[in-house]
Amino acid sequence: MRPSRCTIDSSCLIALDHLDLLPRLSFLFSIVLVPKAVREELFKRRITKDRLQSLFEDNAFFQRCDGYEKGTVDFLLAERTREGAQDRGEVEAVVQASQFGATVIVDDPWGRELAEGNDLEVHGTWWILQRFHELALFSSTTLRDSLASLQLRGIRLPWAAVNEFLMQIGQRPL
Amino acid sequence: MKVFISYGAAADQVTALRLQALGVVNGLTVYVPPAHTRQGVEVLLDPESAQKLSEAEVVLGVVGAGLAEACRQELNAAMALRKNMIIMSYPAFAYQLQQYFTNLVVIDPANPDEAEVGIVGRLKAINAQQNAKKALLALGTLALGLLLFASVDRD
Repeated sequence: MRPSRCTIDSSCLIALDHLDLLPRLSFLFSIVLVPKAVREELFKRRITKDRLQSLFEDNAFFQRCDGYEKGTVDFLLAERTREGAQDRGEVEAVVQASQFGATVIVDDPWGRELAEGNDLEVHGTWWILQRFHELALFSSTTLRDSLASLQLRGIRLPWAAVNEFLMQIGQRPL
Repeated sequence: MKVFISYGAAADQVTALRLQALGVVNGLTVYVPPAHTRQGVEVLLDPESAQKLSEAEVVLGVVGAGLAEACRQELNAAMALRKNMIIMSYPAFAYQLQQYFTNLVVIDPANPDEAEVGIVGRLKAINAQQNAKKALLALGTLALGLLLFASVDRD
């Protein structure tokens, strides 16, 4: 059996780091691969650069992922750039996941579509939080507080689905 | 209760972090040393780890993928400080550890029931308060399960 691994995009990293939950990803994945484009994106700001560096120093299961089929990324990105968007992080996450047999953790709808189109397992921040709740690493109240904090920070999540789930577990919707 | 988890090598940290998450939701304060302490040859015990180790009431060693110098130092320090401690290891590292530590539980994935008996046996030998024994039993049993899963992961 291969160790469970995932590639992760910057928005999910930022959201989970905001909640100080990145080390708990170890519960779901033995290896978390951080694509080069995602690192470069986070390195643009001092605060996220420092956080990312300390993430690598403190947690061995977070690994830099540099080896990928650059041609495939460039090809997919060219399509996207024509549409006026720049999502190299998402594309690298998908291409690397495809190469390494990993799950893709991405919130961006286009990135999710790309991953699904490549027949990859794809999830986002909301799925991770739900899994933590299912695994009892989170109480229902903590889950709601975490979601409220993400909402306040302006993180985009599928809020209709989130609120439906919150009501199912006896919490007030956001 | 404060718990210190010393893991053998960087690849064992994932097991330690899983134990930490389970411990925290059950009311324990669990410290896992950062991964950089397992990279390169550490000459001295990391100061923060030394501090956390001295504060801990319970120490759990988890050795599955290797035995870094930092881990050996942490386990030695825990023994010197007379901490309530159990070390859980795969058979590959048993010989190295048996020479220095008596409170070793060897986990043979092909024969896991002996490890469970081993945990109980080690706990009987420890002169600790009931809550410390309970914490070690719970964490030791969880570590056993996680190490067995990890061995399947690696195959």
